[in-house]
Amino acid sequence: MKTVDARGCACPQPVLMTKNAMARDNNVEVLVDNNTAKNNVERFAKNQGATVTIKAADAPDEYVITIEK
Amino acid sequence: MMLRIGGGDLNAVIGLVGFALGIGCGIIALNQGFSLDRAYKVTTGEAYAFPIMQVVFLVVLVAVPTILMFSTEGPGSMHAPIIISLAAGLIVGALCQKTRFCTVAGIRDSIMFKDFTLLIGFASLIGACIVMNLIVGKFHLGFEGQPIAHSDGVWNCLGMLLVGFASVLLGGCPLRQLILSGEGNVDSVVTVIGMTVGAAFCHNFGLASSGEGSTPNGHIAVILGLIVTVVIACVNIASNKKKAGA
Repeated sequence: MKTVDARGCACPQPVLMTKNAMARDNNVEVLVDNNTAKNNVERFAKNQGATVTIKAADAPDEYVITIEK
Repeated sequence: MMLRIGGGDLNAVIGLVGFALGIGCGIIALNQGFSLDRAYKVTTGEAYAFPIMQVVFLVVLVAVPTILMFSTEGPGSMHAPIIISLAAGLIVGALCQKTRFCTVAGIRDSIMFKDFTLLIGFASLIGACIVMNLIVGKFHLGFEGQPIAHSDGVWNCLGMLLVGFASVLLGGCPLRQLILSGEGNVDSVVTVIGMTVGAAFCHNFGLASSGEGSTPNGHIAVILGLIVTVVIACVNIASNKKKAGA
């Protein structure tokens, strides 16, 4: 599984990094630290037909988004 | 620009074309590897500083306006009653924050990710403006005779091209930067301060356009701005490629 650390990245980096990772791997894990990035990455992945699960990480406002194509 | 299009100003449509072209330039930069360095959390005090400063400015405006200087003529001398401006600002600000409204992201995401969500918001705003202007009889379709607007298409286009290009590199349009500054994003606070200073430069050094047309100083400023933005993009891309290769 490819892990993408998009924490602290400005828009649209989280989605762009996810897009690039999904082009190379079927299973991608994306780390984000705000709701906007979480929603954007989730929407992008679902639009690509992937299955998306989101879990809250240990740190406040951080999420782990698991994407499976 | 959106409000002008909503009033039927076709000069603003030329600006929109430039805006989209600028966003295209920004997308090229992003695809080549442009990215801002990672941001880190700031303290609560740092996050609240700018919003609190805005409240202080409002209090000064209402309580001791005599210490401020106001324009006495021209568009800058006109304003709505403070209470109406405040109410409208609060409503629009809240809606923009909840919907993550961003004029740049609408076009950018449609091109890069085939995600039309924010583009719908962008189009809706323009549509609502058109409808309201038709209702109150303020919709006038055309290039000539538009309020405080000129028909210098080249500089309408180039000016908005610069805005679109720089906004993509910033990660959001000027309105989005303002909303983010209210969310405690200190990077956006610096951007908003930069925009304010830029506006002051425009009006103090004869860069600003008017209904009579664009200015030679303004032309130079736009060209310089484009050069600086391209240099920033290229240096950033080269630096990121070097880090990736290291």
